[in-house]
Amino acid sequence: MLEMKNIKKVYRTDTIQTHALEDFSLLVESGEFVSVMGPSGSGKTTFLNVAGLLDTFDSGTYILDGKDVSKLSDSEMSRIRNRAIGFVFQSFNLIPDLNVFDNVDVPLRYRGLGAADRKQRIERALDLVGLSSRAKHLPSQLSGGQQQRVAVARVLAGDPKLILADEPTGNLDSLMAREIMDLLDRINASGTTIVMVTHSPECAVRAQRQIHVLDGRVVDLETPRISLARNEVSAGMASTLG
Amino acid sequence: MPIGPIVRAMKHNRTRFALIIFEIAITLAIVTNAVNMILAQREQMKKTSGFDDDNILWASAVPFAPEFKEQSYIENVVMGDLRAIRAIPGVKAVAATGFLPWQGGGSSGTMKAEGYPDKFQAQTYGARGDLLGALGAKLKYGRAFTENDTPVDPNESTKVCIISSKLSEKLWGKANPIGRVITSTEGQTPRTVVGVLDEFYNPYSWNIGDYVRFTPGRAYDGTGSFYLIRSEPGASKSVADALEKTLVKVNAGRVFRVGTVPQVKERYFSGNTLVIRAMTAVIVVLVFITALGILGITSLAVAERTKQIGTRRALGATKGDILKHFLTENWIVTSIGLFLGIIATYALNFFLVSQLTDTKMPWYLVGVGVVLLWLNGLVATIPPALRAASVSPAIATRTV
Repeated sequence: MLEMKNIKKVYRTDTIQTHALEDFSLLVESGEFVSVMGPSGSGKTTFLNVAGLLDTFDSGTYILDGKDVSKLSDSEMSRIRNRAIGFVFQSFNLIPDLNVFDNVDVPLRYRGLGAADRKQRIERALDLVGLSSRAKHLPSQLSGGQQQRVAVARVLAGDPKLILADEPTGNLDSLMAREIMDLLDRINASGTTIVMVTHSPECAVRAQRQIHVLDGRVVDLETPRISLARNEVSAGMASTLG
Repeated sequence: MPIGPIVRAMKHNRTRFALIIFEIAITLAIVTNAVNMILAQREQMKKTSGFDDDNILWASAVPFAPEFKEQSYIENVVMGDLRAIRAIPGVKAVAATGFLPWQGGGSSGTMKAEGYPDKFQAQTYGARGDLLGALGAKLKYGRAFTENDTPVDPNESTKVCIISSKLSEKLWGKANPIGRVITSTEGQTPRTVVGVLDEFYNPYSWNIGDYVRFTPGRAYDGTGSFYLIRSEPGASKSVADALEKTLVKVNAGRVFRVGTVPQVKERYFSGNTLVIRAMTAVIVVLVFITALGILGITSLAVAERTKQIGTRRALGATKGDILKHFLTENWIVTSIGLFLGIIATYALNFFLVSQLTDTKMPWYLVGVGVVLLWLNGLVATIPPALRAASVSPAIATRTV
């Protein structure tokens, strides 16, 4: 699903060069649930940004779902982010002025789907995260855990092959964190690949494989325990979660 | 671009958007009415008097000598003045009158006319001497005044008048009005129309700039006399130089002033020019402030929503989608502002028409104003919208 080879990413200012990723190589198979751990400044977020096509890199190769995405245009990257990748952010990143329904709708509109199709996807996603009754609520009217569930519903509605989660439980108490991790487990069980950056060892062990990043490099790679076939990724997700 | 979610999101920032909507509405109302005023002023400046303005001079003589209490003395001096002025080389004609073209006023009265049901108002001036020659005016019908038209007895009313063709049309339509009678509002002092001026315009307060009645009366008394003099083309300066000396020779017991109609006209239009400049300044300042307001509000929105923009980009929005988002938001605000502005425009125009002598608002002017302010809003939105489009999707993963 995700194959990075010798990725190098340098942030430059007038006076300083910061080597955020240095010969970063990683292979994540389809259907895997991988956690990425490391101290602050180790390059976890840069890895996530590169993996999610949120940022470019200086050298190396990156194959995403069988396609070389090293030299894509900005529009092509937007298209892949919209269709193939789902993001779960630490601070939920919901649009505060939009209600739950409209928040889940955001990526679907950019995909250009019809109103009926979008409505069906949104209702199903909200049902899967147990927030159907909150569709008209604003994010400010929800708890942190509920907001993160809306963010997960936003991912589910798009039916992506890969979910990139950036500290998804970082702003939640332990009970809510467990809820979100359970939700991610169920999504992964349906075949969706998940790469999760986390500081939390409790969350990290929920993944099938933990990798550690230090000074922009992968320092420890465990062997994947489970490897699902690619065609299982999204097909069974809804039924499993339901 | 989805309008529904944008409108729903805008509802959460009502005050901010309401302010800019109000500003746009007020700008449209003031700008279109200001442009309407400018056009009206320009139209007024394009009007012609129907006279040979460039070659007309005026002279006034205000007596201080005690002999000027005698009517016969005054009569003799005025007749002497007319003869002496006529004899100045380069003078084509002269008349003693109370009329001065382009003065922006004059004298007027309310009258009645034969066959016309209502009272009407018109400018009215007495004139003795060659009035038509002094103005360079042309007759459409009838004849000029003769010396016999002025009664020998100064207390006797004059019996004839010359009116403008516009007044004639107002009273009697297109028909030849020669022989028709105009009286005072009580039906007294009947005066028969003996001539109709082909063209007449002298700006006046109550929309009676086109309406005039001249009578062959004595437009002079013990307080002074006033003369209109028409010179040969190019002789205006030499005639002006000779006028005071000539009048002093007739009677030195007076204070004289001399000027030209082009000077009077320039002074009159200096007000219009001032209005045009002031209105233009108002338009420029208002449009600039509105553009600045839109620029400011949009810039603030972009600065406040940087993380949201990054999130949208992360979720698949292209740079074009972000640009369209802000342009759509501005389009909605501008459209509401302009819709309310159209209502405000006509309301303000209605007030101006009822309180002042402003002209009615032509629809095309509102249309042009709407389009220009739309473009103004678009141009003001583009810089911050481009800034928004350049926000990196990587912002989404930053913890602020």
